[in-house]
Amino acid sequence: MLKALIKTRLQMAWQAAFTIGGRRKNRRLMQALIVVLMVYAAISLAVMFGMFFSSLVQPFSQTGLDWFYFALAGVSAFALCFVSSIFMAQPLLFQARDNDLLLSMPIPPGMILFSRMAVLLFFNFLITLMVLAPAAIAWAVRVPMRFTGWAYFALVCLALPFMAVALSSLLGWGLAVISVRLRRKSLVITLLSILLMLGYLALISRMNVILARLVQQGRQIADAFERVLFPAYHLGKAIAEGNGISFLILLLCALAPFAIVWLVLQRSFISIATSNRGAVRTAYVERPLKSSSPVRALIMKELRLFFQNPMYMLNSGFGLIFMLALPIVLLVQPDLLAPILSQYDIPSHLIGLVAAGVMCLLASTVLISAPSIALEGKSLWIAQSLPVSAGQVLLSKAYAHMAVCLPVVLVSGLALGLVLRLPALYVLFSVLLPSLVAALMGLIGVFVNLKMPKFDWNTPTEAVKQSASVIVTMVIGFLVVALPAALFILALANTLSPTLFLALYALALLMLGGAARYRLKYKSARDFLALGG
Amino acid sequence: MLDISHLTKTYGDKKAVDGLSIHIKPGEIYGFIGHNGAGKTTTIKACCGILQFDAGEITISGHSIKMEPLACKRLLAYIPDNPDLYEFMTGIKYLNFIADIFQIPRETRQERIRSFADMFELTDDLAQMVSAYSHGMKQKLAVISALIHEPRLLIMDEPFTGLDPKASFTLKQMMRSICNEGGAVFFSTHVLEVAEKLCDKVAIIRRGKLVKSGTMEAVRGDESLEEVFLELEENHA
Repeated sequence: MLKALIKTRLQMAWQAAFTIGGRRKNRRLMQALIVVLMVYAAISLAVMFGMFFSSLVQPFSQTGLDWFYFALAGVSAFALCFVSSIFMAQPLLFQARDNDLLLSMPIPPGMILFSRMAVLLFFNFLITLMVLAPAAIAWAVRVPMRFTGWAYFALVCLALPFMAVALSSLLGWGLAVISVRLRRKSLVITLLSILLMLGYLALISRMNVILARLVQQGRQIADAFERVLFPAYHLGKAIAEGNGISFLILLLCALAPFAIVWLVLQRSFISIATSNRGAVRTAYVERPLKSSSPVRALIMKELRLFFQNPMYMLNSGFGLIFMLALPIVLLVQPDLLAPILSQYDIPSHLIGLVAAGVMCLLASTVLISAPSIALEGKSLWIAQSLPVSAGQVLLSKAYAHMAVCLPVVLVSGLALGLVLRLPALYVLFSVLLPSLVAALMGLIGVFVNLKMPKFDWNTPTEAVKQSASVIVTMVIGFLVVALPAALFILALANTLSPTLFLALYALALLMLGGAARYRLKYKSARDFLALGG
Repeated sequence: MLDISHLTKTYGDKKAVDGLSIHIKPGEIYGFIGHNGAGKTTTIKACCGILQFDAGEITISGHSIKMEPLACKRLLAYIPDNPDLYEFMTGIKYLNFIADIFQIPRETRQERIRSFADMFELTDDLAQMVSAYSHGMKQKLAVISALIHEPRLLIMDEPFTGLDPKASFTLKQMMRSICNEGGAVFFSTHVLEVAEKLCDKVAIIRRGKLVKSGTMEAVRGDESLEEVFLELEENHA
């Protein structure tokens, strides 16, 4: 029974990522593209961790801190697992659409819960591998590693996810409990998630400093690790020294919390999973209703959907948080910029160009419209049966994307211009170009989702995080910014002035956006109606 | 009011609806009966312009659903068998959204929402999120949202499923009221007693083809509708 449940969950995750509509030939091509992208992303992450850890091999091996090296890798893997799965835990464990169906069957609630935690374990195992494998390889290249070391490394990879899942499930449970009781739960969950994410990002942004401190004060930090983070200490000892006792301690530290969390959560699983999601009752008091045009009503509906769902906000709009944070970080830490510019040999007169480019890149990562059709789910019939054209429905999704992005782009672009003391023309470009990129991404997201809709998601998070349309839109967004940038750097830097290049880029974005808008407005009715079968 | 002529819809190799023709006049409550998978929902969705069909024509008050979908949709209201509404809205926001789409004046929408919500006993729950509604409450909200723009044609797929007896009664009254004012109602049902008591005309569909249609008396004769339906099922098996 448990095997069947886990298999079904994994199939759902697989389908969420790889099920694509359209013609068979195109479908295969897109599936292949998604596989390539996922492999590319995994390899990029692994290479990043590999580079980070390879710089630590020599200082740690020379000072006899072999265990600390692996302990550090373990902590990094744990942190990434935790951050990745905390956003997934609450909807996956408690908000799945098949809760009622499964609970009506003769399946113990604990087993349903375990099957969902097992899926988290699976994903965390993959993340652990992406961090620990490059760390181990970087070590083995310079320092011989015994067979027992490799064996314990494999066992640690299997054990570590239990610890991360225990913690993320516990926090997911906490969020679910809060959700039931809170009136403004979306806001609270979003703020908590943003704080957590910003903490992680602050850690990542200080990686160079951390790295330097680790190399300089390795011994002291290792001692602190040994005292405070003893599971990490034993993880390091298990791999570095092939220490069986240490591995057993680590295993206990991983399995015991997992078992306790599972036991605690299964007691309240039914009450949380079946709790009425809008249970905080509000008395209806009749007030004068506001009226608006059909298109405005459609846009407001999209915005409501976006702001009601913290997972949607965080996963699709994360670039906006970076965008707002960028001028603040540069204001607080003005010294941050100089080393980056010198590292990449960027002359100071091109700082405006770089600022506009970074803003465009951030705007391209906002993917609010990419899952917007899929999120209609079973309520798609409403938009299809109302007296509004397919173009109005589709464009309203793109306009909602723009309505969220453009104010942030404006504030951030102006603030960046002030902080960096950019000339007026570059301030204009720092606002105009990311606005155009954001508008284009809004239109492209809808277009891609129309071609790759996915309505049979189990939780909205699947549509937001794992659907093919989101991945494809993300890649298109990257290309929209990276290709012109590469073209300028490699071929046009000597022939075109930066401002002329930016003006031409703005024109190109405008034309692309116009074409995408025309297509959505006038040529997508057939595809939109075909969504219903 | 609603003319379905030679409607054909194919899913892969299977003809879900095969040359179906039904004509519904103003003032008629028209029942649509058939076994599961007979093609009722496909026909209804095609009539509402949410499903493309392969052949045939559907017109509403002379407007083709293919050529003038928006003109048709302004005249009709659709209630699906499963009321999957926008769960991220409150009941009142959902109704106001529908009113915005149909451009109902502010005072009128306020009055209609008040009146229908009272009628269907949903007023106290209008501030709740739709996600907190029971199936029956969602069905009531779907019904109110369908009535809010005073449709000329009401198309419903199994409308009484999930409604409590009082709400069912109110809906039946509303159906009759729409017809009395020159509109029409087209709905599918499995409850033959409801069709027998409520409908002026019925159409019985089997495997996508119309097997019998006409006034209740003509279809039923001296038998009950249930007997006629079962006989037709056996004859065409």
